[in-house]
Amino acid sequence: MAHLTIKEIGVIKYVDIDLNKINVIIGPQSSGKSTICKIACYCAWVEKKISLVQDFVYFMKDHNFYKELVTFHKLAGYFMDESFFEYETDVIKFSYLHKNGNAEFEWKDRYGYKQNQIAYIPSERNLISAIDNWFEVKFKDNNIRNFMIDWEDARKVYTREDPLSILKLGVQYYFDGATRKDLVIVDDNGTTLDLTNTSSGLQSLIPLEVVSQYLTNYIFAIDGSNSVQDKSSANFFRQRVYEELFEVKEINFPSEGLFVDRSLDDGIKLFRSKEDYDRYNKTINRMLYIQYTKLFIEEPEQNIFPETQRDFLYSILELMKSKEDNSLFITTHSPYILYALNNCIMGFWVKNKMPLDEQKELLSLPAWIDPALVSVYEITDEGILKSILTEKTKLIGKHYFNRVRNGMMDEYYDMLDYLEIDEDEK
Amino acid sequence: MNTMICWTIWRLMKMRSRIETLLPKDKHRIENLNYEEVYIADWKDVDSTRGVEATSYPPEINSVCLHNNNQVHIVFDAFADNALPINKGVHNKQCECVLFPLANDDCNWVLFIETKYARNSEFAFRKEHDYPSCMVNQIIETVDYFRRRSIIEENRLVHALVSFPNLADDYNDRLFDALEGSELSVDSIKLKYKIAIRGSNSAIVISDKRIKLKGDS
Repeated sequence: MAHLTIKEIGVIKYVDIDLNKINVIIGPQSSGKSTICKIACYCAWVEKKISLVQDFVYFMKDHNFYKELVTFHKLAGYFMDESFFEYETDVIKFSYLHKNGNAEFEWKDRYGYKQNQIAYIPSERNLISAIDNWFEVKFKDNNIRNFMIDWEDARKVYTREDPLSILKLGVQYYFDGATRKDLVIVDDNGTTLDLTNTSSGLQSLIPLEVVSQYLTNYIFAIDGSNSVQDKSSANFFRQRVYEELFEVKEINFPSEGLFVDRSLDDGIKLFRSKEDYDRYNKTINRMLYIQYTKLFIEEPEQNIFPETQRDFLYSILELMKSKEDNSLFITTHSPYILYALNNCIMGFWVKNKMPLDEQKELLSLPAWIDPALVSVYEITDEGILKSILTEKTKLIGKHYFNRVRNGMMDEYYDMLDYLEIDEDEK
Repeated sequence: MNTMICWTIWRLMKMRSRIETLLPKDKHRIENLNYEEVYIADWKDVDSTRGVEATSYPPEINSVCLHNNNQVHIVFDAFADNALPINKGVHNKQCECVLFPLANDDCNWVLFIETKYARNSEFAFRKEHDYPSCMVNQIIETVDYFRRRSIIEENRLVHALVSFPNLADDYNDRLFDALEGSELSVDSIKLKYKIAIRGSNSAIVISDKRIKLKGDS
């Protein structure tokens, strides 16, 4: 589990959290939700990059660490002298204090990294649905452009012959390679619309679903598609791991027990034992091939009807459960996302008591999740992150929902006193 | 005295006096309060010798709370069982109590409260108890009695809390969802009976003229 600390960045005063499998932050506009999500995503990316090249040099010079963050996640203007963040995993620890200019790094287990796919799905994702020629729009190297790259990779795998069903909406998406069009079959008669002509809800949901499904499902189903390095870089990396951890530097004769690897890619390598050779392969595999996915999603609820928000949440949680290390970070304004998440936690508590036939009637069943794997926070007016899970049940406190609902209802009651409908208007 | 004079005198009487004129002393207990917080609890289930009581401090049992930061002088009238001669319909009982500002003005607020000490949500909303319907109807019938006897004016807006003091969570939606199909929605009650009603355990007294029914959280 990674640990993240943030101080004085944008409106965020203080954050000190363990990043869980499922992380949800709710809060109003401009409360700093996305800042936390972006920094968490950036830290995961820095860890990945450093683990692949096995050094910190790039991030320790020319303010690259800061520049990469503010460019990619559009955070220019969020930093002041005291701005600070720190990220720590089993592999690495690094921190950044803005007045010092550069980050500090420390290995904890430099060969302990487990390779993963990181995707940031920004709130601007609808661009690719709404604008026909989105690929002609020039963006800086930021999270929107990166999402477009993910989208380009993802959409190609869903064809007319093998489309992607979008939740339970009776709608299917596919990419037509010949015309390079995103098409949506919207009914049983096969009525097909260009994605740009579909409803705003579908324009929001389809990019989200296509990229999420691709990154958590498809890339693991297709053999060989999940290597993160080209061949020569991979060979360099293999050599480095071999030399650091497994190389046999002295051979004493008789040399019985030595194991020789003659694979062409690696050249000839000598190991002390078959066990060492297996460990070497496991290390290489773990570090070079994607093992799991980390998704960071801004406001999945955009333009989506509450029941569809619920279905999306169930679907994404089911995807997250498909691999032990998959993780999800969501920012949201929507209590419906939290209601759905609460159902998934509640399911965990009742699964041994509730009759199976009754469980099967519930849409949330495949998404039921151990509450220990879920963290849900709100941002206070003071810019501090506060858990809204109750201590005992780890369910989202009714108190929170009540406060949100009453905030709306109080106004209704303030006006109810004056409600009069003339007979003519009835 | 002719009817017109009687009516004028009646109109000049304070609301408290009208109630005292109509209800026998043993059927209700009326008192003036100006607490910053008014806690209203029904002790009947705990102690059969006691009824609905108002205190300035949280009582030992759960209660309804009126936040009265401006210390508006309030009249609190708690009804004994069967205090009002209401005998129409299925739910022929009045509610627990009524509160209103001591100052006499037809524009002042009037708050009726009905409580049920259901121990949990499941019990409160168990179909066979039919609490939501009973509670709302008790309010409607009590208000109707007050109007018929001219304690309050026919068209005067009144407020009402239907309260489950033992439930900490907001139950307003659930309470009125349970009445679906009975034409007893919040807005229909307001339009038809001129009662602004909310399922809640608290209200805020702003002034003689204003009271806000508050959601629980």
